[in-house]
Amino acid sequence: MPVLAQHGYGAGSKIQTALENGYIDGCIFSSKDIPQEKFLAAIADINKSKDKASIYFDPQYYATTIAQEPNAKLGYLASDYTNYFSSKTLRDLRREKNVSSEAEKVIRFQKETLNLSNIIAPNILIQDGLNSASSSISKNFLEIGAEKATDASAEKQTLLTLALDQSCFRSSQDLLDLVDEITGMNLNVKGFYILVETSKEDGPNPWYTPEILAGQMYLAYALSQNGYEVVFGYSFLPAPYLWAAGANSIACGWFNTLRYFSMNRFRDLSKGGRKANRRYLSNATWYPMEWTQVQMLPRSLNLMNGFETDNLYTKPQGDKRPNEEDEILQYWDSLKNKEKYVLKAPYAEARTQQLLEDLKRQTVALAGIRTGGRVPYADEMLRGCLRSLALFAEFAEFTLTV
Amino acid sequence: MDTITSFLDSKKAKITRYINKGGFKQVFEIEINGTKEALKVTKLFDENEIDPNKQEELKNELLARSTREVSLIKKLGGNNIVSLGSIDATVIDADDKPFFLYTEEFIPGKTLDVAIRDNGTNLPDFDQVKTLFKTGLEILQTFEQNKIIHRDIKPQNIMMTDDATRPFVFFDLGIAFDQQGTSLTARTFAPGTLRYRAPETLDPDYKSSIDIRSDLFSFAATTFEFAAGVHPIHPSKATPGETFYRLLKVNAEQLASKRADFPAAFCNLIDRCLKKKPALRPRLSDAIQIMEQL
Repeated sequence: MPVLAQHGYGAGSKIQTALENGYIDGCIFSSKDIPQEKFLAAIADINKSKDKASIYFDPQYYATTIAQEPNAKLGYLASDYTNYFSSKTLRDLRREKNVSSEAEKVIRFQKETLNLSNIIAPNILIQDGLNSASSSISKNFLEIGAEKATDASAEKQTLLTLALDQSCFRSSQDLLDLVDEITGMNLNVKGFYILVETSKEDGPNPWYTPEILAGQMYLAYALSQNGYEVVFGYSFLPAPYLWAAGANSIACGWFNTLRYFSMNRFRDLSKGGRKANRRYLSNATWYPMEWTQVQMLPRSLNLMNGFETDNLYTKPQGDKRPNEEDEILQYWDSLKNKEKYVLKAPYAEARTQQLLEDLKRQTVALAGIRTGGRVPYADEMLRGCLRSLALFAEFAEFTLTV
Repeated sequence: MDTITSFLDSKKAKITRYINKGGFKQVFEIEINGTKEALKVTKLFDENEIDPNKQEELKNELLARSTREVSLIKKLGGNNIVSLGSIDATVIDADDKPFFLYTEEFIPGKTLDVAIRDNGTNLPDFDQVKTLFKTGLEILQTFEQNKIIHRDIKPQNIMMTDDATRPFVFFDLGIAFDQQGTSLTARTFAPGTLRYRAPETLDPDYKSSIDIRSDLFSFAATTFEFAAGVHPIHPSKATPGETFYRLLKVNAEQLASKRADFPAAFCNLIDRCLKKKPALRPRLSDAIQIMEQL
């Protein structure tokens, strides 16, 4: 069950198509984007498309602290999920009693009202570093969430949310200490749902920023070593690295806002903008390139994956599907195949070593493309990934052979 | 000593043999009502300390530590933890100097460090090592359930017996502490034996965050040494400085490199328990589950 759809606005038939074709194994629904009634119908549709699909409901409780902002954009959270969702400030949540009642409401809603077999416990986003007030509150949510899951007899089906912004990765030692503290809590739950607020690939702290990528890998590794299931939400290009380290699943959606977690998803920033050109994710480069560019490059570079979804790009589809649907199906298919490749090695250390070899191949593939200056971030990405693997190996006490 | 002898006489007990000493404690074999027991005598003073305030502080700390040990033995019980003998904990003044004494059951056998030395290159078979590790994990689980941390697990504190019903018995809970409120040992003592200490315990502030995973590290190092005849991190002769450095910086040897005849799953488990970071060590419940499958 490694690839999940990160649900959001404009789901259309993408999820069903991907499930039927085996590109994904389940879905994490976004409460903001689906009314309660439709959610129940969507579960029925998913079960028709695939037996034993993994279905999660992200309660998106972390948006509670921005609900009072004038530009808050909460969608159905504010109308259909008032059983558990309302505006809360950090000050409100400093009291353990409040955390306790909030955690109980969110867990019971999923267990009793939605009758779900997988439950995601609530938490807030840790911001301003790991020694901040939000960090203390978040740790309370973890401990109390686990207790409430046990009270609801749901401990074997509950994932605890751990949401971190980029400031949490500034100090590697603080992150290592956090992981030490969490694993020392001996939380009796199924696992963790991890969200990391990173910027998209061309932002100021791209996904391959070593401290952030290695930090996420360490979270995946340490938690999985402690017997927890680890699910990363809103994750795309870091996926192979997270699987190698020990993550069980990653969830990725069709818009950038569903591939890179950001609280701005819950704010109306009225940015608008033109529709992006369709991109193609080659497993040889692990870099989504504009399809028109791929078409111009020589075939000898072997950028085409040769997977089923290549047909969506190479054979005319008429006007049946919008571009982003072809694109996400192709991305999911690539992710699924990348996951198979990563899991060929038997354990985290060997998988990390295997990724290092993969990076060498990516370097060769990207070198072939770069002559035309068509891959502006390639060098930086390769350096970042390489440094991430080295840093992760240091954290995980591995020895990598370069 | 005369006062102690008189006290023992009053209990119809007599010292038959000196066993060993460590720190402020001496251990004797005694006979009482026709049965052997181990008499533990702790001096609650330091003859070299001239400051009466410091002497009083030391006395209070040693007394707290000794009392804690006795109450933990009582609290824990169990087949593989030493049990108390027939003389209850008592403080006696001998020549105006205070001593704390009590007895434990006498366990025939040899401590694991002696067994390791005697084994030489004749290393134990897997069943014996497996029994040791399984026994220890169960004891650590008892500690965890009672929110207790031993802090000084090492071969010298594990007795290997000839009794198949209890092949390994853990003793010496002198520096264990109860996470549920018992005051911690002050800094007068460096808790634990450096060679077997977990890296995180070298942090001066470690007491605020220490947990059972530190004991798991010490116990895995002990088991490794029993299995392989060598310590996983420290060569046999090393200065304290070298030991300190290696503990923090040098990764443990992999057990499979010393015992290729052992199951890979067992070697892997020991290796995981010896990770520098507590977060990378397995949960006790998972370790016990793995052992049950072997």
